[in-house]
Amino acid sequence: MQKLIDLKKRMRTVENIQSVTRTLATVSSAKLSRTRRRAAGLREYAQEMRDILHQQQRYLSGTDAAALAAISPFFVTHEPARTVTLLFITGDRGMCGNYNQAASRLALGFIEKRQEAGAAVAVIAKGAKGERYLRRKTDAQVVFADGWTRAGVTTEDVEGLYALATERFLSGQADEIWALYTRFYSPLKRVPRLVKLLPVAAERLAGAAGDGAGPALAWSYEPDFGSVVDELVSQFVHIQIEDVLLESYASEQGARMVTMEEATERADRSLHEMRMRYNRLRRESITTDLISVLFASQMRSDEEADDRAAADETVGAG
Amino acid sequence: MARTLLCEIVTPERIVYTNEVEMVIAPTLDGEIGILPLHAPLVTVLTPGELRVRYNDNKDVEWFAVAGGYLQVHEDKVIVLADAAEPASRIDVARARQAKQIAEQRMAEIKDRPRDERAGASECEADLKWCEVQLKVAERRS
Repeated sequence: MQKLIDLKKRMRTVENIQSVTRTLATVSSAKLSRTRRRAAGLREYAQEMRDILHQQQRYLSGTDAAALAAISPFFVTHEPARTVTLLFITGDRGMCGNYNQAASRLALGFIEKRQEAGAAVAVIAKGAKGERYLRRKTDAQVVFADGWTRAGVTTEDVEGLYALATERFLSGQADEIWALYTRFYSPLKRVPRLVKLLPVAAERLAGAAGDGAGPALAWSYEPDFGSVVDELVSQFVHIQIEDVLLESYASEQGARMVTMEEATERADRSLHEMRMRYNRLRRESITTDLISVLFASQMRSDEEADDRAAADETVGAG
Repeated sequence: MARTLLCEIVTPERIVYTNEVEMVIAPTLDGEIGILPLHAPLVTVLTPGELRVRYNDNKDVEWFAVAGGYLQVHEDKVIVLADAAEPASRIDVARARQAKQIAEQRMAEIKDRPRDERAGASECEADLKWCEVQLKVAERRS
């Protein structure tokens, strides 16, 4: 009997776990579809923006560093980079497979390599998991740590991180700003990546393939070249930050969805097994009980028969 | 068939509009500009306002509310990168009114504060402007 009760208790535990994993999977899939839609729209926007900047390549690559610096402070490069700030994006919670570990490993590699090269690395941690990991594993200074809100990626997040990153860059606290994020391909496939946010390199703005050919066009700018490009560049940095946040968030939700669905299935399987065992045990105990009851009643009727026989004997003798 | 421009209006959320049009009229810092096919290459900053496109032999006009952004013209392709954009037919007037009221209240609050504590004033102003533009464009609905 005790065995049966224990088994029942374990089944209830698994059922509870399963309801948690199922809920997490559902919530993540809803969040994922919302984030994916937004990320798809943003990708289009970023593409168009890259297109526009691509058109300006001729002007940007034609001007020297000093002229670029005059247009936007985000173009200023410091060689070699003595101080590096890493914007490190992970999740707040686990239960999402290797999402956090994969990103953390890449971050660790990056920080160690930079520190070996003699650069001081500071970290802006978005997501509690990554922050804890780096505090444990490295001596890199965590200058700012923030978690996620329920809403996912908000405008405030983007603005806050943008302000922080540009402030560090412009004040000279960081020669380079990098972002470590996880690129989302599908719920099953995601890849942690590193991208340089600042300084914005003129070549990089232009995209990978520079088709230098084509007649030089007389572009007109309103109000003027400097302010248009300046604004475009700062907008570009904004968009990049939003992009890395959205990609990472989508990856996290995708990872959690898949992991939790698997966990739900596993719970299903083990529940099925337990249910079989439970029924078998129950059947066995009923059989045993039945046998002992039958046995007892048999014993009793035998005794009664003996008694009756004894009584008959006394009557016969009398 | 007259020569046309490919007009794309894109926001960070989605692609609002893509179509072959004959003329784009957009709000810039120095007033409205009209863009016809074969326009010289141009990059410009947009201000919140009304953007309209003409197509179908200039018979049809479509109005959009845009909240700041950029516009590029290059080889008969007009790309509008707007912070937010909404076609006149899809503007939710009730919601815009409500948002405008909230923005106005917030604006009044900010104005009451001392000068050095007016953080968020510019964002609030932009919100307010965006609501006004939406309401204005909504009136254009035929």
